[in-house]
Amino acid sequence: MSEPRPIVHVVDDDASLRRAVARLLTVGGYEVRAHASVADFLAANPDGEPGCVVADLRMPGQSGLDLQAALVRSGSPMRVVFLSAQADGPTTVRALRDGAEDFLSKPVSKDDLFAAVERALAHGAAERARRAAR
Amino acid sequence: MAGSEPRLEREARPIRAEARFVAGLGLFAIAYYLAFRFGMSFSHAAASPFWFPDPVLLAALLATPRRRWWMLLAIALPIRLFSEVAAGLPSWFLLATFAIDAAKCVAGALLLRRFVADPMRIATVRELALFAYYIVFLIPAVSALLGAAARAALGHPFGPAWEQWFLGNAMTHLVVTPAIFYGVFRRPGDRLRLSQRWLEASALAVGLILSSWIAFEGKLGTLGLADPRLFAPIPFLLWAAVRFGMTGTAGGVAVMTFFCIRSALLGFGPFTGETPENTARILQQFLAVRVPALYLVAIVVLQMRRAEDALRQSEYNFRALADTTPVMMWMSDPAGRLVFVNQSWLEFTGGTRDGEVGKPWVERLHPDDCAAIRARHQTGSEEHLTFSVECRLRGADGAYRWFLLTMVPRLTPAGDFLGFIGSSIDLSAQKDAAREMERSRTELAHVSRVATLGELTASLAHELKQPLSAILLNAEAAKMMLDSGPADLSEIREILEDIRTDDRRASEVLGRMRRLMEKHDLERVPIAVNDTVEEILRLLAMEAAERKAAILFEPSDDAAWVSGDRVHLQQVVMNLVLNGLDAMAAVPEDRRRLAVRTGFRAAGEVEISVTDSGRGIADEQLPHLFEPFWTTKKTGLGMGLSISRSIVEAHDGKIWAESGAGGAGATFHVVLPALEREGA
Repeated sequence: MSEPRPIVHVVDDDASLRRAVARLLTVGGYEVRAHASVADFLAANPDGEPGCVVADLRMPGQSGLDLQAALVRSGSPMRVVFLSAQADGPTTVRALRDGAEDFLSKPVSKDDLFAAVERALAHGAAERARRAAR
Repeated sequence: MAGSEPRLEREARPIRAEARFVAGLGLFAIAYYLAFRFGMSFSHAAASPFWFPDPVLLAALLATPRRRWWMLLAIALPIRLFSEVAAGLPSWFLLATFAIDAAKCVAGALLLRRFVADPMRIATVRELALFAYYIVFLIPAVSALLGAAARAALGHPFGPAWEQWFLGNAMTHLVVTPAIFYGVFRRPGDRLRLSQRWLEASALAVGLILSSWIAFEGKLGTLGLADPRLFAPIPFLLWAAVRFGMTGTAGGVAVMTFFCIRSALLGFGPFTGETPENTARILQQFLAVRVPALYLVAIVVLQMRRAEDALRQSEYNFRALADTTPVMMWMSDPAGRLVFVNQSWLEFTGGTRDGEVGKPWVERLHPDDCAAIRARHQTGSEEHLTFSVECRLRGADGAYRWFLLTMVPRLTPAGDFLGFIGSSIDLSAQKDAAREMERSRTELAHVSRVATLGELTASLAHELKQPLSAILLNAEAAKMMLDSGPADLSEIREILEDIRTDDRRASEVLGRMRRLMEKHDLERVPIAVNDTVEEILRLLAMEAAERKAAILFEPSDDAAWVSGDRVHLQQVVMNLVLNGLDAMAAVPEDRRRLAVRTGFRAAGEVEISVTDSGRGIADEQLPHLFEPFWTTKKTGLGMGLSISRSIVEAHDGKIWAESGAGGAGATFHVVLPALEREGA
């Protein structure tokens, strides 16, 4: 049974940036779903599907870190790629420790974004495979 | 011996003063003895036509403190009782007549001290009249009743005795008393005036003596009272009255009287009557019609001269006062032409007093100020109103300076308008200081604004990077689409549209930041309050999000306009919002709410309020909030609220803080005068 196509979830409160990220990833050949907030993303409940998340670190309400914590809590294998305007040390360390795939500073280049998304998907898939094997 | 000598001075020089007093008593004793002797020398049979002891005693009493009067009387009594002059008269008569004389003189001294400012210097017509009434008429008339009674007891008829006694006393006070007052008791001013004109005084003295000689000394038994020669001394006496005042007149009268008495005693001249009583009466009549008129002339001239002096002194004082003040002063006539300018005016305008007088003062006004001031000048002239106005006046260098003018109407006692008295205070220093303060405030506001923005770098960078990131990603996407073969043009167009929107967004953020960063003088133009507040809140939204706080903006329904400076008012709102965010750092994230409201408070007042949900402000801190360098925060200079207040006050507004009940948040109020906008 073949795996369904992995989905890249883009979570950003900034509509313009969200659309741009989603558009680029779509052109890059990914299946993309965009969410305006962490709550929207969690409500879509994508735990079971293969994929990864590209999220803005700072958002009103729940932040990117909240999103990651929620994934960890629910045991989701999905990895998170963070976008941030200004990467400050402690936040980065915390995000990475909690299993963030990568931490990209805005403005982010296409290549960095694609590479990070590729790695996140690969790690996610590996994790799923590891869990399935058990 | 002066009775009015101050106590302190007397105690400082007691020995000298006492020595002078004792010497004075000695001189009094001699003078009184001589006066008594000469007074008695006319006749034992009748009352003396000139009773010299009275003027001597009166003058001595006036020159002596009242508590020592008894000493003078104690000296006079033995002279009256025991000197050889009194020989042959019964003791009771001597005692009685002395008692009468003493009573007259004490009464006279008391009355003069009561009614005449300087009892020995008659200064006004009123004082002359009082002197004439009390000293020359009333006291002699009353005392003559007693004297005549005493003489009647010696066998003289009462009626003639009264008349002789009265006339003798009256004549003496008329002729001799002033001579003693002015001749013996000098005043500092008398000496000075005489010494400056000794030549004239000498000429007058010679003329008086010669003319009196001609009038009274000729052995012309038939010389009648109508003979023109008798009038020879009159011009000299008038000369004395006009030029030398009462001193000269009293002296002149004394000289003339001396010759009159001499000729009467020697039995020649015009005063030869059949009996000594008759001679005395003729003499008394002669003097009685001339002397008072001379005194009156002297006093009137004196009063006129004093009035002139007072006027000159007043004029001098006024001028000195006007010329020494640094304030410019002037007087104008009803047409606004200058009639007087002071030294400060001349220094400022570079003119001369003669050159300035006659010019309309409004010529000095700045053309822009002219119309308004002419109008007020007009109203002030018509309604006699005082007015003050700030305006510019042109100085000697042609440059204008700011002054505060105060114009006070000049009125006659009857209320007729004579023009204005103007004065002006130089406001340049004040204006410069105000400008300097304004500059410092602008500078400080700018520094503070830049510092505050520096604290917001992180959120501002984020704000800017959002659109820049979106642009980059969109460009990459477009390129990939184009690279991978024929692209969907509508999608490319959509991407370009998004790029354009994001670019505009980035520009707006930069523009807002740049406006806040720029140094900028506070200038007041009509601004819409809601727009102004909303714009700065947009810049602060990201900062609030960073701090997990929600900003709720509640704009007024009706557009509110104020006359103000957009950037500076935004700075105030920024300070208040950042303060509010700081205040909420310690409360749970879900309760960090900052409400910013705009609206109308009272009629004509626009309010901007910022309410946080922090712990509020302690009552003891409320009064200090707006003081410079006052802060409870670990970071920051504590200048934010102080600068906010100075900005609000420069907008004629008010700013204050309130703490909610039970420490439930604080509200900062900014109230500004509303601007009435046409069609708004």
